[in-house]
Amino acid sequence: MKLTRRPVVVSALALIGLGVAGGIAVEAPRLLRRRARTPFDDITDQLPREDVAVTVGKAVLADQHDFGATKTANVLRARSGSLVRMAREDCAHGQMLEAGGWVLPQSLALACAVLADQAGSAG
Amino acid sequence: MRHRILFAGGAVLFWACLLWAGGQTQPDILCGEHRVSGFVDARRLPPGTVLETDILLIGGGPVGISLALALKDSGRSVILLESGGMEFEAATQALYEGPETGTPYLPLNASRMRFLGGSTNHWGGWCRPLDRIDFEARDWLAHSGWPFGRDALEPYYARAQELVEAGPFVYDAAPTRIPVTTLGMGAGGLETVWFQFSKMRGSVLPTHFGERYADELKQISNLTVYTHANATALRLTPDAKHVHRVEVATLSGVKFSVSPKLVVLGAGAVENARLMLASNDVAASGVGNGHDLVGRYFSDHPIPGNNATLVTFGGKLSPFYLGTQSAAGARIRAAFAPTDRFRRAKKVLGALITVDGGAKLDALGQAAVEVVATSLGADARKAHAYTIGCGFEPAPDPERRITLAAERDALGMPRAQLNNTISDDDFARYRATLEEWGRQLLASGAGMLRIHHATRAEWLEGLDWANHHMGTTRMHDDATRGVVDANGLVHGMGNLFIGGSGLFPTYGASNPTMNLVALTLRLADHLKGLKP
Repeated sequence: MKLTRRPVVVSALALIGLGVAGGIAVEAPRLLRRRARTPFDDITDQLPREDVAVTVGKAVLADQHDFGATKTANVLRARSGSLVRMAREDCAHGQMLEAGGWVLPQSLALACAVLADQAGSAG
Repeated sequence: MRHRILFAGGAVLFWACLLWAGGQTQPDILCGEHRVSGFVDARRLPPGTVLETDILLIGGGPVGISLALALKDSGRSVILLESGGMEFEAATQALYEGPETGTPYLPLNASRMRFLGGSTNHWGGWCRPLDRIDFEARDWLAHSGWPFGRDALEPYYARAQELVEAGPFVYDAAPTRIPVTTLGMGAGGLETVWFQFSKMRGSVLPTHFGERYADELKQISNLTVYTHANATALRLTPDAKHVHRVEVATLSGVKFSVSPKLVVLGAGAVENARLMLASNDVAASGVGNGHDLVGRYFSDHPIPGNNATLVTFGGKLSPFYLGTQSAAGARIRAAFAPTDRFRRAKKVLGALITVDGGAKLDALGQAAVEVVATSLGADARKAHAYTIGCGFEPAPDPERRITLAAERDALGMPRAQLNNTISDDDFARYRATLEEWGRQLLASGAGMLRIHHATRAEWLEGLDWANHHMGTTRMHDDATRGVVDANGLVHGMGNLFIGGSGLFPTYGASNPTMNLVALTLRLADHLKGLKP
């Protein structure tokens, strides 16, 4: 039997199409589930997955009795550089904060707290 | 050299020889020369017997046995009094019982063993020399400072290592001797350190001094070991400067005495203090207690269980962290400890942190690992979590002390009473070490740490102790600050020495046995250098 090129190409394209469609089906809900914009997105957008960051942030808030998102965000903004850079500086200089006993870089913990605070406000 | 046995008359001598011969585990009696060597069951001695000896060792634990071995061929006659026999006897063990106040502690009769070999009969075999900083006087730590540095013990560690049978002296040189990947934590306050383990033979852990050295002791011609012999009083000369007689009793009712030229107390930190305090017929406050120091500064190593969770980002830790491994001719295990530099800088005390086993992370733990690892660019796909154990060093506290209870034991001696303490500062200092470890792990990208306890109540819940009795007869050159001098001689006394971890002014975090054996060997050299 002679194998022609057309069916092979069509099959390959169909498989690729199915893969793309599947990927969209899986990822679309997450991509489309964009939380409401907040005044602190410049900070919180630097965090990884929102749900895990909120989990950490809630634990930070549990020990922060006079927490203010605006004040905290301004403190973080006053430091130049990205959140990653700030976190590394915190580790180098011993600026740590605990969340449920987990020793965390202070800036990262506070950013998580801002996110959790806003999630709580929205919800 | 020999010790003489003085009897009321020849008939007593004759019968005593017969009785002893019957009670010998090794019939090695030379009554004709008035010399006895080997083991003698003191319950078979004629009441009223007075033994004379050059050196009397009270206590057949690691101090007494190490001294007896070291004094072999010293030219001095030596008697060793052991309260028990060759194995556990409940009635003898009950002599340790005593009331306790303050912070809950282990029952006093459960944390020691009262038969030949002493507490080596139940030790775990963990060995590690004290750190250099452990000997230092630190202006931020009240009551700190040994009268000498680690260099003074250094020559004795090798022999101590032999006696505890912990193999070649490797310890922190382990990574240079064996192929091992330690947790790379970068620069910071903690480092990997190494334990070695006592190993009597084959896989038998650890060395029980009584069982291990009994045969050697029996062969020492200038030594007699009296079993079931409890020292009940130190009788002083009227000027309170010398012990001229030691009263001894057996639980069977035999009372006899020893007239020694030198006495060494090696009955453990609690019992040494009890005997000194109870011997108050000449010195009202007790022997060597002119400055009210005997019994004070008692200590042990607190063990806060499951006090932290360690997460390593890069996969499983080396098995050396998780248990003892055979390597470099020894049994060894890795742990984590604050460096001397960090301890000085942050004013914290010693801690030896071990990895106890695997742990499962809760939702917060999983979230924390993901957030931190992702943010810091660490690959945590192979992350592993572990529970963390620790023994840490408390600060010296004069109120943590042994006193005499009103109740008396079966021999008529006042029982020991312990007032135990642990301060919030003790917990805070250890917590500061954990906080630094958490920082260091993050800074290096090696992992992260959760500290489980924050409040005093949390620290106290499940707090265990290591059975490491220390303090009570601390060393110091100044008689107002220590019970004994740098050689273990009781201040103000001419012939009473003390050995053991009761001498430790500060305690370090290392397990005391190997260190107290080294200290004892130093004492042996000092005794051998004294004029007969």
